[in-house]
Amino acid sequence: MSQLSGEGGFGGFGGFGGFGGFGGFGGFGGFGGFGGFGGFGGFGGSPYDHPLVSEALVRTRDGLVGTWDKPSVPPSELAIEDADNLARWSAFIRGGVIDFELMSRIGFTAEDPDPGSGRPTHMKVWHLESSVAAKPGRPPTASYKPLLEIRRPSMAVFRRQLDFLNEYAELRTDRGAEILTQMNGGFAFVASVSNISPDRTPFTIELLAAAQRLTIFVHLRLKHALACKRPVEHTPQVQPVIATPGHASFPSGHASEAFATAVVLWHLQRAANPNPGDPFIYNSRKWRVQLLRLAARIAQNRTVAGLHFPVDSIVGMLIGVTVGQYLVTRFSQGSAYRAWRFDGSHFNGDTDFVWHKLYDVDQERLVRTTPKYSSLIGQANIDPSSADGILAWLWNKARAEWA
Amino acid sequence: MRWISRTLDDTGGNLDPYLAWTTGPGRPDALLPGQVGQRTSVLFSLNMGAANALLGSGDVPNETRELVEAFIEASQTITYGALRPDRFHTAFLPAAAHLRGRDLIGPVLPVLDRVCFGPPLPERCLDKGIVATAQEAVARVKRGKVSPNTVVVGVIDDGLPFAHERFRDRNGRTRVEAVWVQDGDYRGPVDIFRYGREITRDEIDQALDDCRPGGPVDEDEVYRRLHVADFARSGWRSLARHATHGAHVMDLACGFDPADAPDWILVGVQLPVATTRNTSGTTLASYASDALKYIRNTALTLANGGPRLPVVVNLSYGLVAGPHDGTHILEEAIDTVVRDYNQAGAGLPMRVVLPSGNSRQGRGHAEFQFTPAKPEHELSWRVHPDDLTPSFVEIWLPPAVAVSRRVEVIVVPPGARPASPPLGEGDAKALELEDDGGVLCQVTYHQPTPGSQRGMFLIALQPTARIEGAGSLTPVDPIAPSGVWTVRVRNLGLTRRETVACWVQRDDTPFGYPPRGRQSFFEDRQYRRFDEKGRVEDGRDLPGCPIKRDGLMNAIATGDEPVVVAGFRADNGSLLDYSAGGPTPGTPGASLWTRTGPDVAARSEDSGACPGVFGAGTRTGSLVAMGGTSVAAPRVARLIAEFLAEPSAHAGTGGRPDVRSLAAPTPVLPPERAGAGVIDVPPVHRRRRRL
Repeated sequence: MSQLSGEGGFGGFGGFGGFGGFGGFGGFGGFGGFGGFGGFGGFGGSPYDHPLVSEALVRTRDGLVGTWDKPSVPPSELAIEDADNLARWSAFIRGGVIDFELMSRIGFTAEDPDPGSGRPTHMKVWHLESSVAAKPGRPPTASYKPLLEIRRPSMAVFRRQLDFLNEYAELRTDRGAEILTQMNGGFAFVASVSNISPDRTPFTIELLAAAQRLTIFVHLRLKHALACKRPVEHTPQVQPVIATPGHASFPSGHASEAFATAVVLWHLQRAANPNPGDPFIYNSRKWRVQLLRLAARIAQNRTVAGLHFPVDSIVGMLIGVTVGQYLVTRFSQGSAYRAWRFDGSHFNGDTDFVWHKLYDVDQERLVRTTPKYSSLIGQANIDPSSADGILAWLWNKARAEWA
Repeated sequence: MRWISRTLDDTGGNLDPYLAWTTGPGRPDALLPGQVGQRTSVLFSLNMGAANALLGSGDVPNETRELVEAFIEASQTITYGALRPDRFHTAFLPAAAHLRGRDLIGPVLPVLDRVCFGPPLPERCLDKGIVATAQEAVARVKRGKVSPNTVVVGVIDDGLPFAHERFRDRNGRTRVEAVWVQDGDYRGPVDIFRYGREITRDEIDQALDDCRPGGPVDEDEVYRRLHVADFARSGWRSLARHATHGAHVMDLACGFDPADAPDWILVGVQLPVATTRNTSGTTLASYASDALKYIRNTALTLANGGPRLPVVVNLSYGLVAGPHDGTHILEEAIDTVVRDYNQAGAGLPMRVVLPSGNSRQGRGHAEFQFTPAKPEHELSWRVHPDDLTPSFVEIWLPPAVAVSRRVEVIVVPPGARPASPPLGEGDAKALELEDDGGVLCQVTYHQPTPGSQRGMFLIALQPTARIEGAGSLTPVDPIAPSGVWTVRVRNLGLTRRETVACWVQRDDTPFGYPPRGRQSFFEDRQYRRFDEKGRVEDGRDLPGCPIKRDGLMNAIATGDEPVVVAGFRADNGSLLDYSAGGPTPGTPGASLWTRTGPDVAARSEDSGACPGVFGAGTRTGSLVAMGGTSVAAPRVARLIAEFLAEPSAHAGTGGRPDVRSLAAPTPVLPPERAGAGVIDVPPVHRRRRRL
C-alpha cells in the first residue's frame, strides 16, 4: 500500500518534482508541505505498510473467514466514463486523468522559416478541438485552433535588457527572503492573498496544481524551442543570488505560472457567487488586482535575483494570462478564449516589465501595445458540447469551496 | 616607501581643509566612478567688496576673473521680501577644474570668506554653466492653502515617500507642497536653483489620480512615473525598497492618518546620497544648505508677501569629525539662514532640528593634555581591511590668538614602514607617504577658520582596498595598508590645561546601501568596551584613557540655532549607549562655546527587546521599526510644529529655550548628553507596540 502513503505527499506529483528541479513542479512539493494530505497518509500509510499488520491480518482472516460463500447480491455497478467517479479516485490518480484531458489538447508548431538559415522564427501553441465522429467506429474529428504565438527578441534586445539586471540587483538585500522562498513558485504567497489550505480548499489546490502543470508544459516547450540564454551567460557580472535553473531564460516560468494561477484562482473565486450579478466579495477589482500585483512581484523578484530579463517576465505574463483564461474556459465549459501573440521583433530593449501596461484591469484582458509586441491573434471558439465532464467536475468541486 | 614634503601655497582658514587631499592624492575617490560628465558642488561665501576690488585691479588672469565673476553672479541670486541676501551660495565647477584644486582656487581665496567642496553630481542633474542659482524670480505656483494654523514642515533626507497615505489629507490629496530631488534629472529651474528636479503638489496629485490600476494607489507606479524608482533609468532608487531612512523620519515628523491630518504644508528635499555615497573627504554641506534655503523660499512663496509662516525643518544627518564649536561651514550656513529668516519682518520663526548622533561607542574621539612628564601622546588608529573609501583623522588644537608652533604631529604607518618627519602647527606643507609613485597618506595643517581660533591637522589615508581602476580591471590607484596607524602628538608649547581633541571622520555605509566604507577607530588598552557583566560600557570615561565616549556629538549640530536631540529608551528612561553628546571642547565659559551638548532627549528605542520605534515603511500600510537619534529628532520637530501651529496655546515658539523648558529634568541624566532632560512625545502611530 505504499502508493497510499505516496498520496500523503500529494505526492506523486512531488515525484514529478524529480522531473522538475525547475521551480514549478517543486511547487507541488509545497502542497505536500501543507501536510494535510500527509494527514491522510496518517489514516492509512504506515499501519498498512507495517509487516506486522499484514501478518496480523492474515491471522485475523484465518480466525474469521469460515466457509467460502458466494454473495447473492453484487455491488452496484458504476457508470462508464462518468465524471462523478472521480470522487472515488485518489487525488494523485485524478491528477493524471485531468492532466491527460488538458495536455492531450495542446499542440506546438515551429513556423515561418528564416530564408537564410531555414530555421523557424517563431513558435505557435494550439488548442486541439476534437469531437466524436458522426459515424460509430470512425476516428474522432480534430481541428487545431491558435492559442499563443511567440517570436523571440533579438540578441541586441537582450543586450539592452542586461542593464536592468544591474539596476534591479540593487534590491537584492530587500527581496532576499522572497527570492529564496519563491524558488519553488511562490504558492505560499498566493495562499496568503486568498485563503487556501489543504483542509479548507483541497479541490482548489488540485485545480491550481493542474493549471500550473499545463502552464509548465507550455512554457518549457517554448523555452526549449526558443532557446534564449540566461543573463548569467551574457556577462560575468550578474552573479545571481541563487543557482540559475537548467533551462532557457525566455519566457519566464515564474511569470507564466504566477499569472496563470492568479487568473484561474480569481475566476474560480468569482464563479462561486451563488447569485451571479449580486455583489460578491470575490467579484472585486481589488481582489483581482492584488493577485496580479503579487504575480508581478514574484516575476520581478526573478530579475532582482539575476535570473531573468524583464522581457522574459513580459512574455511570461502574456503566456500566463492567456493560458489562465484558456483554462478557465475549458474548466468552466465556456465557449471562447482569446489567442495572443508576442512579437519580439517589435520589442524595444529599453522596456521594463510593468504589468499594468500589458493588462487592462477594467476590461480584464491583455492590451495591444505600441509598438506592437503584444497583440491579439483572435478569438477562438470552442464547442461547449465538446467539453468534457472531467474538467467541469473539478471546477465545480473547487468552486464550492469559495461560496 | 618614503615620506616627502610638498609646499602648500595656501593653508588659509577659509579654505576647505580636505581640498589638498581631494584634489591631490585623493583624486581617484573625489569624483563619481564611471561618470563621464560630472561637476563638483562648491559652497562658498563671497566677500563682495574684495571680489570687486580684485576684478578692478587689472592684472587678473582670465580664468580667475571668470571664476570670480561666476561667484559674484551666483551670490546675486534673487531674495524674497524682507530677507537679507544670503551669505552662502553654491556653484558647480567642472570636474576637471575642481581637480586643479589650489591652482585654480588659490588666486580666488582672498575674496572668499569660506569655501568648501562637496561631492559631484552627474551632468544630467545640472543646468549648463557653473552658477547654480537663478538671478531672476522663478515663477512658482503655490497650491497649498494657508490657514492660521499652517506650519511648513521641511524634511531633508533620503527616500522620501511623498505618495504615502500618511502624507495625504482626508480627501486623498497630497499634503506635500513639493519635493526637490537634488539628484533628479534637470528639467528647469527649481525655485532659485539650477539642479535636480522638483516634484510639485500638482504632479503628485495627478499621479495619485492616474496610478490606480484596480482602485487603490499603486505607489510603485507613482514613483516609477516620477522617476524616483524607475529601473529603466540609472541611479539609485531608495524608494524601491521596503523601508528608507527618509520614510521613517518623515512619518515621525509629519505623518498622520488622513482623517487627523492638520493644516501643515510639507516640503521635502531628497539629498543626493545615492550619487555621492562613493565619494569621500567631502560633506553634503552645499546640498543641505541649499535644501534649507529651498524650504525657506517655499514658505516665503506660500506666505505670498504676508507674515512669515512658521517653519520647522528636520535634518537627520550627521558627521563625526569637525570643529565642534559651531564653525563647521554647514553649521554657519544653517545658523545664518535661520537667523535671517527670523529677523525678516513680521511672522513666526523657523526652527531646525538635528540629531545628536549615534557615535558614542564608536571610539572615534580622543582627548589629551600634556604635562612636563608626558610631553608626547601616541594614538593608535585602527583602519580596517577592505575599506573601499578613504579614512581621515582630524586633530583640533586649543584656541590661540596667533598661530605658533605649539605642537607637532608624526604619523607612523603599520609594520616596518618609515615614520613621518614632524609636521608643526602653522607648517604650510603637506607630508606625503609615497610608495611606487602613489601617495598612501597625507598629513596637512589647516589654519583656524574665521571666527574660530583653532587650527587643525588632517591625516588622510587611501582606501585599504580597491576593486578596479579607471579603465582598468585591476586597481591602479594607491591602496593604503590596513592595521594600526600610530599618530604621535608632541608638545612644544601647550599648557597642562589646554586640550588637544581628535576625531575620526565618519566612514560607514548609509541605511539600505551596499557597504563601501568601514569605520576606522582609535584603540587603547585602557578603554573598556564592556563592563564586568558583559554589557556595553557606558559609564564615565576613564581619566587616564585618551579615548572618550563624551564629545562625539554630531559635528554639524554644535551651531547656535538648531534644536539638537539625543535618544533615550522608553522602557527604562535611560539614555541609549550610542546617543552621542558633549561636552564640546575648548574653554568653558568663553563666548565661542555656546553649547555643551544636545537640548533634549527623545525616544529612539522602545525597549531592549523591541529595538527602534515604529514609523512608516515606504508603502502605505507598512510599518517598520528603526532606531537611533535620527528618529528621535523628528519627534521633537513634530512637537515644535504643534507649537507653531498654535503659538497662543503654548509657551513660546519652539525655540531652544522653549523646547528645553518642556523637558522633564532628571538628575541621573548628564546635561551634556541629555540637555534639559527627556521629552516623551506621544507615539505617532495608533498601532501600539507590546513592550
